[in-house]
Amino acid sequence: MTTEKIYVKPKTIGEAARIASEHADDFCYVAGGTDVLVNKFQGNKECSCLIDITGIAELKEVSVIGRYLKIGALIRLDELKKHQIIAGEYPSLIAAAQEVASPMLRKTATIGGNILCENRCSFYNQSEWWREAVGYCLKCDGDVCIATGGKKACFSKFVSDTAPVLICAGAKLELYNTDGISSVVDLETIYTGDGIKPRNLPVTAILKSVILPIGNECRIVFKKLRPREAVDFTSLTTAVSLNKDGKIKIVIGGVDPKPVIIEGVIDGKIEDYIKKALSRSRVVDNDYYSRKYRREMMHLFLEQSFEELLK
Amino acid sequence: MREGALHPVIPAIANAIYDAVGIRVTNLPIKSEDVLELLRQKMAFCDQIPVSL
Repeated sequence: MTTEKIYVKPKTIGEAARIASEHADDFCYVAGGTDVLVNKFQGNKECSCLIDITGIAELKEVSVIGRYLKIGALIRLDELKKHQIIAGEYPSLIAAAQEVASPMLRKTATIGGNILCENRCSFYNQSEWWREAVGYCLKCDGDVCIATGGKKACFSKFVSDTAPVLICAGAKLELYNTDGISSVVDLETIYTGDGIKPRNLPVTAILKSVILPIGNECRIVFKKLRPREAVDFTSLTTAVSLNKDGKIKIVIGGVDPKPVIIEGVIDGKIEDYIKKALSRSRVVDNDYYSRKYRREMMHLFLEQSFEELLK
Repeated sequence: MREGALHPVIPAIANAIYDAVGIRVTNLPIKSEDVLELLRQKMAFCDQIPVSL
């Protein structure tokens, strides 16, 4: 089961990228490791080289540059609330971070890891013998999607809790590419909608930081559905934002291989936006809760979020 | 979930739900989804009873 031959802990981002490019087809970056190691031991994703990036100091900084807030990718979810500037500007980001996993995991898991969290499905995140007994699904080199009863596309769900709030806030990601050049991309553009390869980032790129605008007077309401308050991955995550110009943005996680994003203006009919969100979500029975219940709760969460925003 | 059903805590929780909203949950784990469905069934049943009774 422990298949890795190499475990390295580089001190600089350049060194990490260099080692990654040397093992480009068989490596994995590890930060908090709360997901990577579980997936590894369950045989979901195995690799022969683990690159521990927690020794890189520049990824652990929170700074304000002009009108932008830069949150280092290695900031742990539990640490976010300790930064006054984040708590003041984005209380909903703190709320979302505090809803992830359990208190102990939040002290290890990082915000970068949460944004890049692997998609999940009740037919994929199982032990090796379970998957073999059921018959391998598309996400583990099988022929068909078991959750949908034989479709040829993977519907594993997008489970990050902080990403919907960050997308609502208009977050950008700063990436370090192997050639040594940093690039900035919009967070909402990195998701492909394909459950097997959910993100379109270069394999060896390292997420350096999350960049958020300061003072954009955007209110965000975050809600999450899960069986147990302090352990489970999300069954449904909703984030709804309203900015000072009356623009609304609905971002839904846990119901599709990528976050479902609906934009509009507050003058429009709220019910129409909710209907649009429901029709755009490809919810399948791959969760603890049924498809029907999650759709019903999505409607309810969005109604409640708008009530809170407009009161 | 097997031996769990023999312990007194789970029936006590099921009884507490009956005490609170008047429905009998007979499946484990007790999901919010199932409670909602049973509540709907109960309300639908109550609606069928003629008011004159």
